[in-house]
Amino acid sequence: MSKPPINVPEVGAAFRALADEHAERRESAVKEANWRALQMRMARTKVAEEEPLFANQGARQASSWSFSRPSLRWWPAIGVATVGVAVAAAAFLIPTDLKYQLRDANAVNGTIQPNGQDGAIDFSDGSRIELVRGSSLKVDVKGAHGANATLAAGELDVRVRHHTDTHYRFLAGPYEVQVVGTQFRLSWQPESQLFSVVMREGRVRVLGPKLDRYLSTGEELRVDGSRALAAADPAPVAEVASPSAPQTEETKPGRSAAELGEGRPLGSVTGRDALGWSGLVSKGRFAEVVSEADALGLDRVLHERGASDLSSLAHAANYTGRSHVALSAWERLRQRFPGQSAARQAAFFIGRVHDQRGNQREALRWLSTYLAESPRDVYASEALGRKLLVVQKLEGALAARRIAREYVERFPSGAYAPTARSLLSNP
Amino acid sequence: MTSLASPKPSAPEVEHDDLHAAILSNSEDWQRRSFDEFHGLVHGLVLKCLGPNAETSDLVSEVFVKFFENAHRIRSRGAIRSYMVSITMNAIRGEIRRRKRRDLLIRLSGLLPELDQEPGHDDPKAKAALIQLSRILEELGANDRMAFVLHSLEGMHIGEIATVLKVSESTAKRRVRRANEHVLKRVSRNALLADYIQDRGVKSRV
Repeated sequence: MSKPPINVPEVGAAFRALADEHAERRESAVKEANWRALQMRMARTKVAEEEPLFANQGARQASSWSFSRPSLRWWPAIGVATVGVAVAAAAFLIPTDLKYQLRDANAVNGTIQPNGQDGAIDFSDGSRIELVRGSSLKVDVKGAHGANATLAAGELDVRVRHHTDTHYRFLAGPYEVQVVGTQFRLSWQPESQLFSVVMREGRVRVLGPKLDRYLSTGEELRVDGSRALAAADPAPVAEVASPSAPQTEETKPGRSAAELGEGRPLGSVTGRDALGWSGLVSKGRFAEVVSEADALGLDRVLHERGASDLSSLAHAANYTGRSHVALSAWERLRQRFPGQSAARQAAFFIGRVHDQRGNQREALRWLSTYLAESPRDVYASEALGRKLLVVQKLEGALAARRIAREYVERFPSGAYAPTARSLLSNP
Repeated sequence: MTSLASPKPSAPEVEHDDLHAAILSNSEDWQRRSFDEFHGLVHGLVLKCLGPNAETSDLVSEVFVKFFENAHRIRSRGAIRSYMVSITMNAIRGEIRRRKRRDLLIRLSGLLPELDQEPGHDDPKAKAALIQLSRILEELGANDRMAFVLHSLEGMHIGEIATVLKVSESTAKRRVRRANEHVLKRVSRNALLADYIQDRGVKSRV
């Protein structure tokens, strides 16, 4: 029997069934990794925005301009500028993706291996990966300053040159090291499931099964995956060693980075601890953070822990109803780390807690502080909206109209815009 | 002449009332809720447009960062999904262009080609069919490819496609027709694909 001719709906149905099945299968495997990558990217963007560089300020301003509609009288100038940009862009028709060259190494079917002795990969952005003899690596370029490097086995010495959009990811078995700019040594032995990262300079984020933590200069992380497989609890066993003279703000000399930065005594720790407080908070395990802080002693925690842990503790305490602990943590965060983003945002959270508790005067003071320190931060809309309501309660509608006007001008589609407009239209 | 009739019913218009309210009130979990709601859609569109080997992480991040930046500007709760599809297709269009530049660079410089990982499919015939269908799609330009995916794989109507791709309906229709003709021609000439699709069609009719 001859088969009927193919038609487009049949092709589409077949393709759709195949693609849907493949996409669904992969989605379940990559979803959480994609969420982590997204959070990482947002954190990098936030750091870049906070850097007081003229270039970044210009870029941010350009970004905000992109939503406004220029008036007609600017169109001729814009036209001329566009032509200029087009001419300039012509000079960049040559692709700008990252390039690399192999030194004492060969590539076979995409796998790079050293020629007998140690080899190296030199990237066009100044970054360099040295491969210890016997190592096997694949590299997938991602834009001008990014690459995914998959270490099948062996040992690498990595130096990543920092640029504003640098994004290197090193994959080794189930582990991932995310890099913006740093030097470190990465090792992965698939037979023994031994994974290690030794930091030389900078800071990286290491992700893996039940593992999500940052490493700073001088720190070393070793994970024995085989012990995890043998144990009832699948968490890998991670060991963190700190440097003798740590250099980051959160790991002052004389204290262990693990003790101060991640909330655990120095030495061997389990995968649950490897999450860190920020990891626990992101997974909604607030009570564990608060009870661990209680066990360690709240005063000690408030004096010794880094900004990230103080922020995590504050949120965890707030979510578990211990707002006095939350307020203490946020206030201490502001005292010990003035100027940091988390400290500035703490003013907003403190104001919000006071608002929820009915302490309108305190709420107004803290919301105003936050808006003065961070007028364009992510919570600015919420803070100004809350301030509007607080002022209305404390000082009446007339006083609130000035804030309402500011709110409508700055956040015309914000959550408090209807309230503000109502206030303005009903004097 | 190829048919423009879509075999797949268009996705029902979901209002996303709660999500829209959460976005506007800047609820603490609105970003995660948005991610949970739309990750499958974004991830699927990326894979369908760029092939089963595509590295999705960066593109998915790019789409959600854009969404998180601008979500509060979405005025209608029914528009969240179409906005998400729209920025996903923009990101995919950019990636297709980047890939073309990279391919040019590889040809010019003799550097290594991209890593080639095969999709994990249990049925080898299905795996081969998916890879070959994806290669046929890669022959299409970015615009035609996106039109084909939205119409034939996502079941969107011409009007929706025009909105998402920001073109007129006639342009959207033309792109879909051109893509359909190309895909049908290439599939008909490919014995493996033709057999696979016809067998599949016979099975589904039995």
